[in-house]
Amino acid sequence: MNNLSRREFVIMAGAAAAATRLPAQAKKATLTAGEIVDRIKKNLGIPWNPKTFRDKFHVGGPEMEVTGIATSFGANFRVMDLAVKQGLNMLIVHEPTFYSDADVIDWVKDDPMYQWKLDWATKHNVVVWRIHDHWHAHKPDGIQTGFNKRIGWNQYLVEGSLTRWKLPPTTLGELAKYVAKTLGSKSVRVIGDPNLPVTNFMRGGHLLAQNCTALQEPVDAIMISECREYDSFEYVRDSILAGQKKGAIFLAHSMGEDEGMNYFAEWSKPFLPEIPVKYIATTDEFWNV
Amino acid sequence: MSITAQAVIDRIQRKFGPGWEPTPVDAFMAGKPDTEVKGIATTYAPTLDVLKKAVASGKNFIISRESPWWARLNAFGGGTQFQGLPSVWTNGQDYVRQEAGAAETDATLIAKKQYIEANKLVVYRWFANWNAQPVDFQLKGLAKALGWEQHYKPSGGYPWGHNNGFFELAPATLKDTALAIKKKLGVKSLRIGGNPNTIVHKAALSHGMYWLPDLQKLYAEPGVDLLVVGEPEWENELSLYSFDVADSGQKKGYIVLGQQVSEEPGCAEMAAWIKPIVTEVPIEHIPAGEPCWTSS
Repeated sequence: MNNLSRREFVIMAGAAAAATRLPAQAKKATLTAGEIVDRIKKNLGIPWNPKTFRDKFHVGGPEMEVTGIATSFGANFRVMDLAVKQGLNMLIVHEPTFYSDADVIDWVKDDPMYQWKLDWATKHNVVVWRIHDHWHAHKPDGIQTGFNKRIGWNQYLVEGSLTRWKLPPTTLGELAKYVAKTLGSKSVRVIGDPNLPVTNFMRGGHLLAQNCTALQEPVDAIMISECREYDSFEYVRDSILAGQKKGAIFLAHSMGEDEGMNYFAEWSKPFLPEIPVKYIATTDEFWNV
Repeated sequence: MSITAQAVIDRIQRKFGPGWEPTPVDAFMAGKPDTEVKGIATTYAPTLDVLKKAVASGKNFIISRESPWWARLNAFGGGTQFQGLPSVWTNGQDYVRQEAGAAETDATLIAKKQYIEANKLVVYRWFANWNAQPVDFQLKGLAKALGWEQHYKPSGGYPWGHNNGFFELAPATLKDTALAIKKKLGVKSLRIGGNPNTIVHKAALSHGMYWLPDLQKLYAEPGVDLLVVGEPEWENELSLYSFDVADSGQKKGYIVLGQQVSEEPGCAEMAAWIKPIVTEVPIEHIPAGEPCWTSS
């Protein structure tokens, strides 16, 4: 706690110093979080689903003044802290803040981690707004578009698809290494023979049925960012044991989607010229031994 | 002396005692219950490899934790059930996992069905009722496999009960602790969160899939500075929690073993549990083995 207090003091001192310089930049515009969300909705190009339980404010609200925006896959505390240090007090994230998909406060109201995180966010004037459903629904899917920019295979995309590639011939082992290195992940897992030749490659999904369908397509291997191990892992394993020349590469959930929020920053900058918009990578917080 | 698969299950239910609940995850998943049993294999997952090993050693009855058809059906496993999910999530229905599986025409499904039929195998899945016992044998089996039994420090309640897996270990860094676990279990693909140099000494151990209430119970135990778990329900929700714990300055580590790695030792306990009541035929545990390897 001493360290945190000191860090908070340094941040507050920095803010005070910035405030004393403010008259020189008095005309600098600020936006409210609500104005930012309105502009996002206007620019999305798809109807807003008012029934979404994901895409809404999860900390703070529309009335809060925003000094800058940090976009990221997750509202991880790590990301929040980095954002505040850069003077960005609005997080626009793809995933939950308080440990369940719908951020059900009832489940965490007595939880010390929830209380600590909410207190910290409130103290630092942080506002968190989530865009999950609508960023996927954006045409083209914002998450996949961002992933594709990073992974560097756009020239190999099968026509009409964002999730299917005809890659230069490689092996499952080499491909997994490339993916891990390119995404900066230490938790890439693989099922299949590392020497399996791979050229036709596509993404699967979180759910078993999606992965059954994907693996049975005329592809050599599939790539999945988080699935259930008891079903999709075992399905892939049995497919290989049944003699199919197939493989699968498994990414951390964050590694399959983080870049989508990098793209969100890039996409939203032109209509939010008053304030800085920066992508802060959630990163893969997993490591291995 | 001969015995049918159904008679084996009847004996299991008799030993289990009152309170056995009919569930879709405690049921025959393949084969005919009146098949005469030549030998029994228990396993985490009845993969084609496990089935072949069973056949090679003359066993035709497989009792497994997971389904041969992969989908978990409508069941929660291992964890505390959520109450009161938001209706937006459940469309006003009681929350059950409606997990679609492989299509009838799926090549892997067909191959597996054919193998099971050609070898006249019987597969029974024993899941929810096995979990419902006062002693959590999955937890006990995993603790044994880790060599942690003598370090057990239950938190009141029922010893070896569900979510009562706490252990006082010799203090070591998170990294060294992870390395020791990796070596002891003989696995390849641990995933770890937290500062590698954090010294950990009190572990909360869990197996299989865990949900938020499980996580909250494990972290609430005084002194816990290491979580060793099977598989988070979702990384972006539950791993997030453990990353936040570490990143908020708490000196705590997080080690994810994987579903199979965390559940297989308990399936050896299952074989040992059945052995005294079925003396007519051989019974052994056939591990499914770690499904994946790590590339990074």
